[in-house]
Amino acid sequence: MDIAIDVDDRSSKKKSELGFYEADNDETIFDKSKVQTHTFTSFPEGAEYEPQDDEDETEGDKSQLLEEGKKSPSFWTFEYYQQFFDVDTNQLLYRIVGSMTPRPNSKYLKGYIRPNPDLYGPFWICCTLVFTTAITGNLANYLQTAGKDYKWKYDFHKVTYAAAAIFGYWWVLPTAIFGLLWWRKSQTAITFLEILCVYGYSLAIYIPISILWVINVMWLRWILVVVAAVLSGLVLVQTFWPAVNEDNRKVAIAVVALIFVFHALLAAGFVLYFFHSPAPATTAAPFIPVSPVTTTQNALSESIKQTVITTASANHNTTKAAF
Amino acid sequence: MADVEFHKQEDLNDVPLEGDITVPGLKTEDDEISTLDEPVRDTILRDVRAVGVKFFHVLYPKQSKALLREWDLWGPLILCTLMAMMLQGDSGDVDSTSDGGPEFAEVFVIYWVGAVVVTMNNKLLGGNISFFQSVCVLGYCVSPLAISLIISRLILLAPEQTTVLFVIRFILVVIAFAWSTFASTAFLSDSQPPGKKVLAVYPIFLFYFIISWLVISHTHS
Repeated sequence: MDIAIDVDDRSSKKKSELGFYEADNDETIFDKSKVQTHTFTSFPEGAEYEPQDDEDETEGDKSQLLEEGKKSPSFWTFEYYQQFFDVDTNQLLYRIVGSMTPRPNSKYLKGYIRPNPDLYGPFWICCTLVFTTAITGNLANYLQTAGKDYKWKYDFHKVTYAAAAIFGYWWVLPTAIFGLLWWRKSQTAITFLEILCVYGYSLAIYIPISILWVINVMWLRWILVVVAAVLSGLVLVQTFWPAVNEDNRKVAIAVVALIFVFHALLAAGFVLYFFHSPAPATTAAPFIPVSPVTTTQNALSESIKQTVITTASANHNTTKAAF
Repeated sequence: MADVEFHKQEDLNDVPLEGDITVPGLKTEDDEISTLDEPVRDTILRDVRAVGVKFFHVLYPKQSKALLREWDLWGPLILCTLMAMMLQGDSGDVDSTSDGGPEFAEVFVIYWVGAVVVTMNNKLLGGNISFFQSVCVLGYCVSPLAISLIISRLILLAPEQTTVLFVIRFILVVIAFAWSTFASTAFLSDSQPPGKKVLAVYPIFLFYFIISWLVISHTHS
């Protein structure tokens, strides 16, 4: 007890003393700074002019800002990326609707995307599509096996495949097109970002379609594939036609046809891989159409008993492990 | 010699040579609670209580800034580990007997990467909220879904899985999903400019929707 009181006494004493010292210190520091400012003003001329230059620069920046309206920030700052997310809800809906309604005379790029292409829409459209495909793929799988004597199990890893296919499509195709336009020295100045944006939005139509794919009727699925691919594929073709138009006629038609075919192939790959049968074909990658052998295998597995199905799925699993 | 020494000691007694490493201008320690000399139990209990209060705020969401002001990542970590352990697939030997469920790490990654991506989206849209605040809120707001997961695990223990039981689980998960989304938007949507509220809420919706899907698809006991 005694010691504790002693300590308290000491500390209180210290404080009062310290208070005194602090004030003293402050004064000395203040004095020092006074002296320092004085020496600063008597710097050589070259050094003295520097702040003036700075002022000129900032004034120049300001006038530039006034002229251009906005300055684009550096690549490494957060603000640089914020400009790609500068959309509001109405604009987003407008762009999504525009991406699936081809009209003879409207230019999607000019009328909807420019002057500020965004990445919000494309990114979240891709994310949504990954999960709607994986979820409805599982659901369709369940509905196909519901009545049968087959213990259904969900396959989480469809998410991985769907993500690889969709994000791959979203980035590889625009890169290829941009590279091609650059190589052919196209006169229309389409930036990479604009291509990326158009491609992202072109996937929007597959979201409702992928939900409708749950309906377990094969011909309906194929009709939906055709409808979706034609609607959004035409918008894509319309967008990129002016860019390749001045080129050699054959090349132009080939490029546009390839854009359309890849767009349709993505949808076809989804149906074949995710919505086909409880034991999906082992060779069916999302991009490659399934060979006739695997489709017959699927048809068989639907009709034959559970044992066949389990062996097929075991096969599938082992090949997956081998991957 | 002795004289000089004595003189020195006297000097020392007069002006004790002791100081304090305090920066002038800073507050003294008197107005703060000192946590240095309290028992460890108190420190831990205080943190546990803070985490508990945050769980309560999520389960009973009302406009309150307590969750935002003092963020921590303990709650999200606990929830995430719990859910990842309960959701992970029965990996069997290689793949032949596995049930196709996600691995522990996959749930873990979905949880954290999802929260980070949603937060980044929030920031990129121009929301004025700090990174960890948002991650903290998103993490804590999973707790209704975690509760629904625990209950559905209990339901799955029943020997015979009937349609009625599935419907019960489904309703539970839907309620938990709505609850999670509502709670997190109550905390987060204020930070957005008016034209972008929907854009900020949609990713949150998607995030909880995916976790709900994981919960409802988890069918083995």
